[in-house]
Amino acid sequence: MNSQDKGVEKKSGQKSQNPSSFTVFWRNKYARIGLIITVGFFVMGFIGPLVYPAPKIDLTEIFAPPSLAHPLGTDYLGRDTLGDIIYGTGYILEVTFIAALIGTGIGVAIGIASGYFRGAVGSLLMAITDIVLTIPGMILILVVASVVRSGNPLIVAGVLSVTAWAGFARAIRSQILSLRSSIFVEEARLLNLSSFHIIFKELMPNVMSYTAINFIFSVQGALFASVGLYFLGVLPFSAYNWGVMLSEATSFGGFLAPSLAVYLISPIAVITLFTVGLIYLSFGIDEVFNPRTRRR
Amino acid sequence: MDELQEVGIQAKTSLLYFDNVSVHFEIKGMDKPLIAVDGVSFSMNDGELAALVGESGSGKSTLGRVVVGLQKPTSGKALFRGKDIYKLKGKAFLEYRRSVQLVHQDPYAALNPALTIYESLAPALRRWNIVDKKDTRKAVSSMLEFVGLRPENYIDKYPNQLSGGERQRICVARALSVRPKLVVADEPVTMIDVSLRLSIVDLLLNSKKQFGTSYIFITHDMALARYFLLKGGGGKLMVMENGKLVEMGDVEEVINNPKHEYTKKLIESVTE
Repeated sequence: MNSQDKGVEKKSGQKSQNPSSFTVFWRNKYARIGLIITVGFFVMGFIGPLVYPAPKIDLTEIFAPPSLAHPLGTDYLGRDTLGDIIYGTGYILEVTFIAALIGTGIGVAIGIASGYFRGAVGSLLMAITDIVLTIPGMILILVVASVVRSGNPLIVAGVLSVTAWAGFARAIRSQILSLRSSIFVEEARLLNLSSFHIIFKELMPNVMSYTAINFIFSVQGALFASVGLYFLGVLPFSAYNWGVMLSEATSFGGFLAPSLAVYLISPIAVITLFTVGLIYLSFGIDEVFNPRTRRR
Repeated sequence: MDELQEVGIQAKTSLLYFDNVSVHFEIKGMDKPLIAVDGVSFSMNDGELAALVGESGSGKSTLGRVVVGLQKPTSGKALFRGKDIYKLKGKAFLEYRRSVQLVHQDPYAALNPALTIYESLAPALRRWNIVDKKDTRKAVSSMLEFVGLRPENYIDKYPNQLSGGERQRICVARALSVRPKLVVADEPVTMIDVSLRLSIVDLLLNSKKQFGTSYIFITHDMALARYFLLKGGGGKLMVMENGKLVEMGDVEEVINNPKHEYTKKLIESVTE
């Protein structure tokens, strides 16, 4: 490359180059808060257990109020509530993010394939999707979960995404159907660009914003579903789990006295905070993937 | 016999040769099909200019789509270099596909909103191996320069940051990027601000001068068609009404001595 070219590139860098994705993201106040919260949970989940002592059963400390030793008090077995939350975070993150990845991945793949390849393939994929859509999701999850009875995060995530992809696949398909007959795709065909190019370069970017948002909402859905499954006791009880905590707090004395409110509210607050973080994060993701929001 | 042979030779040597081409659309709930194009015959040679004039609904856009390979005719022959466009295969199809391009009426819909200008223009260059991979950015820059846009101000922009005129220039750049022999420009300036229209038309003519590109310029505006052909050094004026080609001839001749009532009406409506 000669010096003249460099000059041109440099100029374009100063004058008209688009702001980087992160800059666009960071400009949004909500996105900033969401990112900080979500990253905070990851730090808590994966670094927390290294620095915070594991909660132990201590029958001399049952239902202790918040103190320096136990910032959020203790539960009915004298275990440290904050410790329970910290040690439960990693598992929740694994389950919810893997479930969202599976659900969103299958949804995008089937949605795009059935929207782009009309004919036998598309019809078959949509028939399968429609059948899955008619199955009541939460009940199927309950049944499958009580049969499987595994605490393995991969398996739980798989169970949670059994039906989660179907509605999303349909939504993506309808977007692809309208996009594939758009004029810019027609132009790409006139230039003899490949189906691979059209799918991945012309169509995909147009559904990325929606996909990312769906991913975030899937994490949220998987969080509620997994907490619900543990709360109902469908999945095997394991130590350190927000759902289990919530279940225990309600059945083993969380309502007994006002002084125990911290014990009951802690898992609820942490689930709510995680959800809020995800929703705020989705605001920023929308800005990043939606070129219309990228201003000069 | 002689006449037939002559037609045969013309069909083979012409860039484009249409013989009695019709397009019918079957519409549900209607007994008769809609006749969009009705027995149209014409031919185009390399480097020739043609303007296709008619009111909306006259079938001129449908005819344009037949030319670029997007609308299979119901009957008649649509030949490119002597071969039926809709039966082309392999190498011949690829040559046709590269040689005939379209500039669409709506520059707002013709560019992918999710891609930057570079991302919209580069794939075609790569697809046809027009430049080496490392020179792609430079080639896109020079394309932008050709259509009168400063590359550094446009190459990384998204379409939504540009005006209609700027977008149409980019669409022209994209159509010309594969060095086509024939470009169908379907109402290319209708959606553009009046003050910028002629500059886009001049841009098309510029490419004719530089690369010898043929044009079929579709418009409802007789004055614009005349400007296009006269400024481009003459060409064929074709007038379409209700799917039929009612008049065809050299632009000056048709304008000065129109034979068909409809053509007269169109010309009068301009001069008044």
